[in-house]
Amino acid sequence: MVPNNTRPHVLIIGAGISGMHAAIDLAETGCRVTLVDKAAASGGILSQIDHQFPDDHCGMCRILPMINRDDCRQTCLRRGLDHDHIRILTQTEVLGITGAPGNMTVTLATTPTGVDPERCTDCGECETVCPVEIPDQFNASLSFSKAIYKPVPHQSGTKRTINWDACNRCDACRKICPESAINLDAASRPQTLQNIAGVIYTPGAELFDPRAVDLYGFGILPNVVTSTGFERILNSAGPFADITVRPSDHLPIKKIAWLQCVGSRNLMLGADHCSTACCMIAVKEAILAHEKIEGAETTIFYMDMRTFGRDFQRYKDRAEFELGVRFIRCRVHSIEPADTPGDLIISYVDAEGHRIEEIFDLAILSTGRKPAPVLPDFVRHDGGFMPDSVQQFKDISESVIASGAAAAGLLKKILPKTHEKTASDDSPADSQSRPVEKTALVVGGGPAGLSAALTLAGFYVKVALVEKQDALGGNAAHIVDKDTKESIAQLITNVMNHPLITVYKNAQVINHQGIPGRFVSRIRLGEEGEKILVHGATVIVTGGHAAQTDAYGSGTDDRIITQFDLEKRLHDGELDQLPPKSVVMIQCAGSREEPANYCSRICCIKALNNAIGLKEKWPETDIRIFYRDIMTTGDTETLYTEARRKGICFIPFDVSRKPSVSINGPDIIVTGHDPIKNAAVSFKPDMVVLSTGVSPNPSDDIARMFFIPLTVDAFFKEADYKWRPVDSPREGIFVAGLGRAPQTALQSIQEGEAAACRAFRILASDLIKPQRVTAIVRHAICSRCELCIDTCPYGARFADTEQNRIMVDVAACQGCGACAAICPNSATLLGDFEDHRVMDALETAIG
Amino acid sequence: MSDFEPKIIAMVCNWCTYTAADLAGTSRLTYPSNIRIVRLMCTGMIDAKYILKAFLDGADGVFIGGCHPGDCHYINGNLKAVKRITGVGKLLEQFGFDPARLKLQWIGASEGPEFQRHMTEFVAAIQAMGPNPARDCMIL
Repeated sequence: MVPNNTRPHVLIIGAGISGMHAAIDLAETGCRVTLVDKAAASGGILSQIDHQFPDDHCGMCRILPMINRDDCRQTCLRRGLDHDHIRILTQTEVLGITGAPGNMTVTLATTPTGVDPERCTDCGECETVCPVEIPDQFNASLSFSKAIYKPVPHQSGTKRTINWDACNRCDACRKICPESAINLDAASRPQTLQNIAGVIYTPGAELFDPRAVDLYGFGILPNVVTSTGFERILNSAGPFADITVRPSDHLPIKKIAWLQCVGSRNLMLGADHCSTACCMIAVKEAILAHEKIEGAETTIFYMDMRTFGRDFQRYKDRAEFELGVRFIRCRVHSIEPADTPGDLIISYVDAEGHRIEEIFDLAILSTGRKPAPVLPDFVRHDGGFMPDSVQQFKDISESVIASGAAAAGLLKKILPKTHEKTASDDSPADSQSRPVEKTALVVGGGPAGLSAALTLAGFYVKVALVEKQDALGGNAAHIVDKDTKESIAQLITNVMNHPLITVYKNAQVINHQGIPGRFVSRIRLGEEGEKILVHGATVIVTGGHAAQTDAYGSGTDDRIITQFDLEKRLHDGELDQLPPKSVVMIQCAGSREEPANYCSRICCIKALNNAIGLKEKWPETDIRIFYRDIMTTGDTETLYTEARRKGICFIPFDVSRKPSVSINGPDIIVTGHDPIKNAAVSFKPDMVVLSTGVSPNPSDDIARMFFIPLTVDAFFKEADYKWRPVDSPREGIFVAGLGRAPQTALQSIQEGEAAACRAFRILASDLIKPQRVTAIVRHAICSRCELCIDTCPYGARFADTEQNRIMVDVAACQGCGACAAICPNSATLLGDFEDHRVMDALETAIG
Repeated sequence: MSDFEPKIIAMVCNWCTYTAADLAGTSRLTYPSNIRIVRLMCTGMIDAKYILKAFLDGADGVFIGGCHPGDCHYINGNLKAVKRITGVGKLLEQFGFDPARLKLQWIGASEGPEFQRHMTEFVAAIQAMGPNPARDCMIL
């Protein structure tokens, strides 16, 4: 293990999921991290939330280190992160940062907790005597806490802390404390950290306070809660113990309504942004409600259901069609108290335009984030800082990718000065340790591949980039946007000129074998024969392409085109001779329904850009967009606002009532249903533009060769959608880009960086060593039945045919013990949990 | 049977149920002291012989606690546990034990109160069943 004092020291501001993930990635690649947060506990908003979309699971512990596991306490992250190389300072604010990346000086101020952690025995007497009661932040103000309290009850290591704003200095706790652990001096303690190599700024987003929307009665009507509040109600350790009841009278909940876009997509509040995740959070909460409450009736009032992720549309469909969650497209005006105490009246307008009043037991406000705050001076004025989640609300998967990319960016900057130190490793090798081949293979030369190769080369890793075509850049050839085009062209130039990157064009991987740290691949090079590459990690970025569809008469008439075509024609000026007078666009052509039931993520933005582009050139052009849900997440919402301001007409449709395109002599006729008029509408446009989406490139052979599963839509399936989005299920192989999920080119570049950072965890050290809890094989009694190979969830067991032995790959093995349990001979043992130890423990326990 | 104090082994996974037990403890939730917790990394590593050993050594009940399906830190260890423990249940009958003495339950990390509830219920159920027959006889 690299000693702590020789590691480069990095500061991360904000200990939410982004900060923790960046800290773990950096610690695994040889840095020492100080993680500060102004809150009283680490974990951010996720410490309050148990279940995550799109699978209702938790699994947060999967972000823990996988290679150097022994550096980190192996426990659920809800109990706190405890890593040898990560120091967490809570209740700490950054006062200032001076210097340049590489050598910065940071001043911090820590507010004391008032409780000496060395003396405190956690007896809780202080909390009992404290006379102050304040709304409990952790339970979203649905219960009360004392002024001396546990900020996050399940963080077992943390002691109580004093809320200085609430404390009335009555001295009762100090007097009763049997250990004299309490000190009521609240003066904050400044400290200075010298020689900081870099800073990552991930303070997260602040949630909107719905008190500002007085028509919803939040804060007045007790049964109007925020979505975080509802998560707490569902939690068995929540404000009402393990029963799901409503706040006003603790009666069971049956009818629940979600109101979307509270505090976002609202120009009156100055919030011209979408908070991205709330739609999916509402869907998830509705699903959880059905799980926990028998006979629950759930309704989601929404503007657009933004199921933008790869697996989200199916998740929403499951909620709608299997569980019967009602989705009503309507922005609710107000919530009023009903005559029956506690009940709420919600009046809304249904699809046919009727005003309906309905009584609900509980209303949940899907509060989004506040508008992005102004960044502090030390972040704005120095290019060395990488803020990410603060500007855009992100779901977990995107936060993990963005923080991985930020960690990669930081590592690239600081490695030159410290690379020798991080690589030195003087602990003795043992029989299971393996040397690491410090080279990487990148399969695919699109934006994600280019950025992964460049990032790895920036870590001083030799990279082989294999591209099937004779040019790099992937879909860049079809991209029109000038900035994106230029940044990809720059990536190509940098890759071609980088001394550590070898590019093989017209080449294909035809065989791939080995284990993390040492893979052997055979590459077929066009005419020139074959080449064998030995490499420590593999990044698979085979990309995707514009989806083909025959929906809406696509391909039957040259006036029915795709958004890609329109973008190109607009850009090349092909329309200038004969500008279209009337254009109809149809969204989700061939996507978001079976068999391609996913949102392609780029089409709404492309359609809006094209429509705005047309309007800017020819303001008289009539543009009508048939859409299902406009997916302008985050700040791209401004595009949607601008489009409507420009007079572009949006007509929603449902899959059961799709518009139709027909050709009648010289005319194209588009007919559809206008829900506002509640009547059929018909247009004769000059041009019909279809948003056709993206598909992954065919990758069955790659998937088979690398043993990576594919999703039903033939995207690569990562190890875990939320917590390990760029890892494949096999350690040492990483996936990114359009081959993994629909995304923009800029997102692909970010994913490539994040994947490179994950790969560098393996490539950073000279040796991969077994950890304490790793499977061990006693070869003398192993019968080579290979049951262990089949049962291993990480592909860490393999048969070594040369030695005729069953082996454990110590990089991939995570110590679950499934192989030890299945082994009929007990030839496999799990370190620290050998049979005799477990038996001894059982005997002692029974006594 | 009210004075019968059973000995119950709870084999719990390191990630979810152990955390729930910890949370129950730090939240000052009380549950019968008949439970003796043995922490293992994953329910998927529980060998049939551990369960049999516990019963043959005189445990009156064996409780196995793991992560909810999908939450397993090791991807699918808990699903492997279901298969194995269902099999062991059948085996127990042949040994002369009531298979209800063996219970598998998913308890998530934040479910301290659920841990308390399941422990209390299981202890009461075992108390009703009476002592493990293996305590008074020798099973070969």
